[in-house]
Amino acid sequence: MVSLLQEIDTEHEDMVHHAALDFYGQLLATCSSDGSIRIFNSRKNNKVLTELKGHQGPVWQVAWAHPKFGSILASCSYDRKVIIWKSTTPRDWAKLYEYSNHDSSVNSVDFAPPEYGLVLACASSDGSISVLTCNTEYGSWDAKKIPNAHTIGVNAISWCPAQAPDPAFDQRVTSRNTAVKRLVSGGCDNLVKVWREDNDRWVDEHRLEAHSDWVRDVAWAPSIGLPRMQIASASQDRHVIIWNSNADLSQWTSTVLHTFDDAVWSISWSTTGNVLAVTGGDNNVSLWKENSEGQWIRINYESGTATQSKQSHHLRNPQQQSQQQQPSSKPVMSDSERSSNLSNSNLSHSQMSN
Amino acid sequence: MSEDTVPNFELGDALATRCGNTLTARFVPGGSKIALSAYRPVKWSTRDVPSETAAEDPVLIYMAQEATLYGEPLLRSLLAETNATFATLQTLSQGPKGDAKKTIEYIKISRTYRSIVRCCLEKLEHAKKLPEVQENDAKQQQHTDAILTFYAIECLWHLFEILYMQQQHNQLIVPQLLEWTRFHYPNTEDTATDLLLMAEEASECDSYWDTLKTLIMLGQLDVTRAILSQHRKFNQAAFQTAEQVLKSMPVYQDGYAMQKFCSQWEYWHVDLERKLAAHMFATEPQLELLMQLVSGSNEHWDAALLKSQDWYEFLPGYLLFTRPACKPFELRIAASNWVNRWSGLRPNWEMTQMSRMVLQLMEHDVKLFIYDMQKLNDSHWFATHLIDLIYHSGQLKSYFEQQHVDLPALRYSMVFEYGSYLMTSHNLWQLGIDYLDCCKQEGVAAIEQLLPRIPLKSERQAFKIIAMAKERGLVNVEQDICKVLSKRAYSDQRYGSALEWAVRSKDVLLVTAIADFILKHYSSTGVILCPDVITSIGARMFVSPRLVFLSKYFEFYEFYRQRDFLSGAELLINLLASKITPDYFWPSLLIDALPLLESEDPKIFCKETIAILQHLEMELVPLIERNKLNTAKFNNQTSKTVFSDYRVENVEEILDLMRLACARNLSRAMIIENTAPTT
Repeated sequence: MVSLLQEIDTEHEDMVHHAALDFYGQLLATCSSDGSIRIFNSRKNNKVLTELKGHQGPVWQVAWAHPKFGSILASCSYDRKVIIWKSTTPRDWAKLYEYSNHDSSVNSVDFAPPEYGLVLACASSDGSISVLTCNTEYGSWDAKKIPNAHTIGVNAISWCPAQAPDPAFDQRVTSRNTAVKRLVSGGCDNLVKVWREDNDRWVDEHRLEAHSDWVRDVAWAPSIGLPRMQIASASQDRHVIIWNSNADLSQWTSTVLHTFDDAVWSISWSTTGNVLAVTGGDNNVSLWKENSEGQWIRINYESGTATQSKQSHHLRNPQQQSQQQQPSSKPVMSDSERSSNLSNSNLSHSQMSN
Repeated sequence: MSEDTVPNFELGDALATRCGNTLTARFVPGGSKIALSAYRPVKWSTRDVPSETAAEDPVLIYMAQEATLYGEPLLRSLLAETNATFATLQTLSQGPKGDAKKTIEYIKISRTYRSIVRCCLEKLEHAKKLPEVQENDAKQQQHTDAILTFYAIECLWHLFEILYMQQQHNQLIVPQLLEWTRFHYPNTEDTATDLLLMAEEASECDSYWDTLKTLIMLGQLDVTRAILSQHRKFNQAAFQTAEQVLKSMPVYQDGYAMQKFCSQWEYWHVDLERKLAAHMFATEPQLELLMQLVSGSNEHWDAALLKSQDWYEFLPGYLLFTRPACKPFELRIAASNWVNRWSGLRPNWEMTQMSRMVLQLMEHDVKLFIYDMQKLNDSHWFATHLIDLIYHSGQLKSYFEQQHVDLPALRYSMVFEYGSYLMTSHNLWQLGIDYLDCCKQEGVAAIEQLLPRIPLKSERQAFKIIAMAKERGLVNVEQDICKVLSKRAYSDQRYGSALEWAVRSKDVLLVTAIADFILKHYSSTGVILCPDVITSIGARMFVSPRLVFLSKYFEFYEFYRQRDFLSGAELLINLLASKITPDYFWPSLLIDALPLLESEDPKIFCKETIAILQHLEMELVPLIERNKLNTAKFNNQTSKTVFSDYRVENVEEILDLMRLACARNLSRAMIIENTAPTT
C-alpha cells in the first residue's frame, strides 16, 4: 500500500510542469507556466526558500547537477532559453549562464553523469539537441548542436549512465568505456534515437521505431551492473516500451510494457533501476517491476474481490481486497501491494489472485 | 463519484481533475518516495498564455511512499537484530556442507529469528499501553498493525519450522502442533489458570465447562485433569472414571515401537468408547460431553467447532484424539478434510490470508505460500529471511526442483530488493548495505548508486560512508563525497575544511581552485586563511602544483614571521625560479622580496638579485602590459587576472621600487662578495 506523506502547496500561479529533487532529495525545484521556478526545502516543512525569475514564458523542466559541482540548477522554457542557476546558500541564487541558441521552445534538459563533468543536454521544439559543456576551471561554456535530431521537435532527452559493467563479469565488453557519451531522445516523429559522441560530433547510432505517435518521455535506466542497458519510452500512442540492449549496445530489442487507457506522459526509474513509475492521462500512477523471468509486472495493483472505500490520505486501489475486521487477538493479514517474486513459475499475477 | 469508478491512486487533486485527470510522477533520487503533481500536456501549437486553469486551484505536489511499518523505533531494533542473525547465517553456510550438525544449527537460527520477533512483540504490546501511545491515534494504529503483522509472521514461521525444518526419525508432529496452537491461543490457558487458583469454587464459575471443553480441544490434558481434580464431586464414580481415562491415554515416547504404541492407543480408544456406550458418565452430562470429545465423536466436535475462531485452532487437538501418530504427509489430507468440514459449518465463510497460508503450509504447497508471504505489509522482511534460510538449509531443495522454482535466483532477488529497500529508507541504510553485499555485482552497483545519495548530515556520518565505500573499493563514491563536502564547506566559507576535503578527493581542479582562492585572498588582504590546514597537508600537497606553491609560500611566510630571513630569502628565490608561480601572484611575491633586498645587512647574493631583476622584467612587466591591453579592449569588464597587492595601490609602483631595491642590494652584495676576507 502506498501512503501519502505530505502535500506541498507550491503557491505557483499556474500549472507546474516539472518538479525535481536534488541529489540528496532535500531541495525541491518546481517550474510553472507562470514563468517562475521555486525552490523548497522538502525535508523541513516544505517552506519556499526562493523564487527564480528569469524566463519570459512557461518553464517546462528543471534539472539538478551533481552536488560536486556545487548547487546548480538548469531550467528550460518556452522562451527558447536555457538558464543555468547557481546558489551559494539555498536562498541566494544567481544566473550562471544563459543559452539562447534555440529557435523554438526548449522542452527538456538533463545533466550528464557527473563523470563527464558539468555537461547539459537540451531538447527543443526546433528539432535540435544542444549539448552544453562547462569548463569548470574557467567557468566558460561550450555548446554543440545536433541539428534536425527529430523533425517537428524533440520532446525528451536522457543520458546513458557512465558506469561500464564490471569487466571481470563480462569479458566481451571491450568497445565500451566510460569516455563514450550516449544520449537518448524522443520526438514528434514518433522515434526514439540513441546518440553517441564520436570525436566532437554526435552521431545517430540507433533509430528505434515502434511508437505510432509522439514520444513524450524517454528515460535511460540506471546501470545495475549487468551487461545490458535499458531505456523506457512513453508515447501518446498509449504504449510504454522497454528497450533492452546487448552488452556492447549494438542491438536494441523492444518489449511493450503495457497498453494504457490513455496517453502516457511521463516515466521515471527508481534510483537502482528496479522499478519504473508510469503516469499518464488516466490519472494513474503505476509502478512496474521486471521479475526474474523478464516479465514486467505491475506492483501496486492486486486485484481482489471486495471493493475498498476510498480513504483520505491513502492512495489505494479500490479493488484491493478488503481487510477483514477481526477481534484483535487474531492475526489480520493486511494486503500490501507488493510485487511477488516467484521465480520460474508460470503463474502470472492475475492467475494468482483469482 | 461512486466508489466503483474511483481509479487507483485517486488523489482528488482539483487541478488534476480540471485538466482532464492527468498526473505526472517522479521517483525521488536515492529514496523510495515518489513526487506526484497534476500535469497538462503541451503541444507544439500551445500558445504562451496563462492556462485556463491559472489561479483557479492551489498547485500542489504530493509526496507518496510505500507504507512501511518501520517508523517505529522498536521495529527498527528488530531489523537490526535480524540483520545480525542474517549475517551469522551467511557465515554459517560458508562452512563445510552436508553436516548433520548443521541441521541443528539451522533450527537454532530459525528459533533466533522467532525469538527476536517474539521479544519485539512483547515490547510492542508493552509500548502500546503507554499513555503517549494511547493518546495518539496514528501511533496506536501503527502499533496495532505492527503487532498483527508480526504476530502472524511468528505463527507462520513457527509452523514452518515444525513442518519443514526438523528431521525426526519418527516424524510425529502432533505434539509439536499442539505446542504451536497452545502458544498462539493463550486465552484459554489464562482462564484455566484462574480456575486452578479458585480451587473448589471454580466449578460454580459460568465458564467452567466451556473452558474445560476448549482445553480438551486444544489437547491440554494435564491442565484439564488438574482442574477436574479440584471439583467437589471428584470422588464420585463418573469423575474417577474420567480421570482414569485421561490418565491412561497412551503418549508416544522416544524409542517406543510405533506398532506397540498404536495397538495400545487403539485398545485405550475402544475402552473409552465402551465406557461411553455403557453410560458410565451419564450422571454428569457435561463430563460426558468432554469424554465424547476425547473419543473423537464427530457429532460433538462439529457442535463445538461452531465456536472456534480459526479453522486450524482445534485441528491438532482433534488429531491427538483421532490420529495421534499422524505424519507430515498424512497431515496434508487431514488438513484439507478438516478445512472442508470447518467451512461446511459456515456457509458464508471467506478464508483470510492467514488461514490460507496456514493451509498452504499444511498441504505442503510451499510455492503458493512463498507467493502469499510477499503480500504481507512487512516490506518483505519475512519472505526475505525465510527464503534465505530455506536456501541455506537445503531442506526443500528437491521440492523446489520438482516445482521448477529457481531457489537461488529467488533468494537472490529477495535479498537484493530487501537490501535496496533498507538502503533507501531513512536511517536504515546501514542495515541494507549488508544485504546488498550478498548480491554480487548487482549489489555492488546498487551500493554505488545509493551510497553517495545518503544525505551527509555530519562529518562523522560522512566518514562512516567514506569508510564503507573504501571497504568496497568504490573509489568514485569516496571521491565524489569528498568533492561535495569540499564544495559545501567552501560555500559556507569554511575554507580550511574545503581545502582538506578537496585534497582528500584528489581532484586537481578543485584543489587548484581553492588554493587560488587562498592565495588571492592573501594578495588582497595579507591574511592567510586556515594556516593550520596548510601546515598539516605535508606530502599530500603534490596533488596540484598550485597547492605545492601555496604550501611552499606558507613556509616562506612562516620563516619571515619568525624573522629567519636567510632561510626565507633562500626559499623565496626558489619559489621565484620554480615556474609554478600563478600569474596573479607575481606582484605579491616580488613585494615580499623588497624588505629582504632593502636590508642593511644583505640577505640576497648578487646572482640571486640579478635573477630577481630578471623575473621582474621577464614575468611581471609583460604581464602588466598584457593586462593593460585586455582591460583596454574590454573596458566594460574587469580583467580576469587582477594584479594587486594589499601593500601597494598601483601595481606599476612595484616596478620602480623593485628596480631601485635590486640596484641597491646589488651594490651592497657586490662589495661584500668581492671583498676578500680580511682575516
